[in-house]
Amino acid sequence: MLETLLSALSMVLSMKGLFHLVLGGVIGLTIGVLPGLGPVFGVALFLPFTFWMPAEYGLLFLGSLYVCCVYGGSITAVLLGIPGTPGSITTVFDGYELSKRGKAGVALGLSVTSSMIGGIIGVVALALFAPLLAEFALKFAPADYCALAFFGLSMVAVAARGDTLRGLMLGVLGVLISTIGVDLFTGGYRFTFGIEYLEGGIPFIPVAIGLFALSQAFVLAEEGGQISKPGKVTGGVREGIVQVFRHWITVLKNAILGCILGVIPGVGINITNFMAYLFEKRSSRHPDSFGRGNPLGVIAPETANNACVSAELIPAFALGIPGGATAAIFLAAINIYGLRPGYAFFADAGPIAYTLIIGLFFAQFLFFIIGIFGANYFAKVTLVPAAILVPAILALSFIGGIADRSLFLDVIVVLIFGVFGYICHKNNYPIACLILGLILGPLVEDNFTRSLQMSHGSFSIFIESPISISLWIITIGALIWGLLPDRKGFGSPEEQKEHD
Amino acid sequence: MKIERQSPKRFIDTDTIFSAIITAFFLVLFCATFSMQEVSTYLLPRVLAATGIIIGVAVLLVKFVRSHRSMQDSDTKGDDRPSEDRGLSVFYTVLLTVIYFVLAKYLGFMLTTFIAIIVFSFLLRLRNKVVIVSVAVILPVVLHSLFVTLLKVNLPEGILSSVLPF
Repeated sequence: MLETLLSALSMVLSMKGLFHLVLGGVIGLTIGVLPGLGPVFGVALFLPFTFWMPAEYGLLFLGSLYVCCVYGGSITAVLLGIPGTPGSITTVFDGYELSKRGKAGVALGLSVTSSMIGGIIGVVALALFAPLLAEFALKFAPADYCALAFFGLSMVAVAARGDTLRGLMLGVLGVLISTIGVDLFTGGYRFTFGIEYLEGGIPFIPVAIGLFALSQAFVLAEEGGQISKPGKVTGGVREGIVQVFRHWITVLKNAILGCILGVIPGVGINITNFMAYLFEKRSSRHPDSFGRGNPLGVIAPETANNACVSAELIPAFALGIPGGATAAIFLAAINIYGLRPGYAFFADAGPIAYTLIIGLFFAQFLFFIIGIFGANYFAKVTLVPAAILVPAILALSFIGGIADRSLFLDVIVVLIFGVFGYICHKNNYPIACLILGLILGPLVEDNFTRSLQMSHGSFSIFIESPISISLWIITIGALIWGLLPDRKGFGSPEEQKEHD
Repeated sequence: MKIERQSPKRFIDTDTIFSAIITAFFLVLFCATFSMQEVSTYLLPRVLAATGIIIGVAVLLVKFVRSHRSMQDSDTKGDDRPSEDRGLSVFYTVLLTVIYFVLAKYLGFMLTTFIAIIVFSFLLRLRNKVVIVSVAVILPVVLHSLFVTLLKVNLPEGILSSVLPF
């Protein structure tokens, strides 16, 4: 075992290993900051380039690309309010608010440090608990998934605390939008109104780009000036790093949450970053400070989604069940390299498996170094005039819309949701709820239908397992909590002072 | 942003209209579920659309009651900056975005982005010609080469398709 580890370590730290690690990291970071291009795109695009590499270097390259890509998404989320990847959506809420106050350096420090720590904990979980966590994930039946998805939806009440009804309205709208297209179980059409484009459903990426990127361009054009309202960047990346260590309990609990959610197939970083953000908001003594530049609003999702990155690979490598789309591509990669997932992957392909794990570990430090040294330069983006930023965001929104499927109608979706997002922003509608509904919609529906098929139409299946029962109880509790009048008011004076 | 106490809040405003439109959208979707044949196809969407209608009506009722009582304070979107610091009306931004997206398809991404940067710089009162021209040339070229050459994204090349070297 020790020999295998040392062999893998020397492989990663060799010139060739470091070259593949850095190359993958730089490419991943570049793809991560570009809206519309996520880790799935990056890993899939560069998979064929690894065929000529030895398996260990190919996996090292892909692992580094994946990890750095997920972190890269948070850079534009913080600086421009545009999540580079769907896994960074909630980072926008507080990270961008900090940038608007001229604290982009602090926000970048928060995101890079929490991402690194979350990532390291995720890698440790992958190395130590892979088989154990994978076994836990297998205990989830479709009815449990359904309860988990409804529990996620009940988080709408947390996201929209104080305005629960409007939050629920957008949450339901999000789930309904996710049902548009062909029903995968029966082949029947839903809400297509004879429009061929709608048969494939409304794609998620253009919706997210419209809601977050384009709507920000409209707001920025309307307000003029620059993102940083004070016209300067105050507070450095160091302040952000210190704050992360000061909130070490938040970091730890969100890293664990990321690991747990990561191993459950189908959950992935998109849902994990929402869950982490909403849990943190729920457990905060001042939930109203979230969305107004609360550092915990950056720390929680960034820690969780980076922990999830490695944890997502656990069921793929340990059981051959991909936890998400990116894990599925990794699974394809190890098959192409002639390796088999499961116990054999760790036993037979020992050095290769541990090269990947150690590579994932070092990739955390790679993006941390780039993030730390680049943060003060990246932060200057918030001082660029709106006259330059607005057309740049429009151009990136156009590219982000058309990148995935080369369909011009996807760009129209970006436009429609851009206007929708702008109206929501102006009227203080919680956009997070719409996105949450959209992400969880397929999980709700697939498992709802599958459970009913398994039980021949009996709804009792939803309350048969202890996991389901526990989740339903928490769901009902969250909804009741959300609908109760807010007695805490609009944040404490201390908190206002701290965050203004 | 300044906070001030408002006189009785009006019921009909953009917020109400927006909520009403979403509620009407739920209603349309609810009616559309009746054209679906299979139970599992329409069950969840119908339940969701009905829930949406109920929530939408509740949102409107709450708004009506609050406006009737005139008890709520609200953040006004008042802007106390001098008028020369203000940007572009959102109507024109949306209009320009539509024009940009459509032209990008036919004229090509690079040429349209070049024009967009010039137009927005003019409308948002950026006067440094060197910066404007530099950004207008460099940004489209960098984005085009990055996405088309490296990442193999299909961007419309439009009328420049025959002269582009990459």
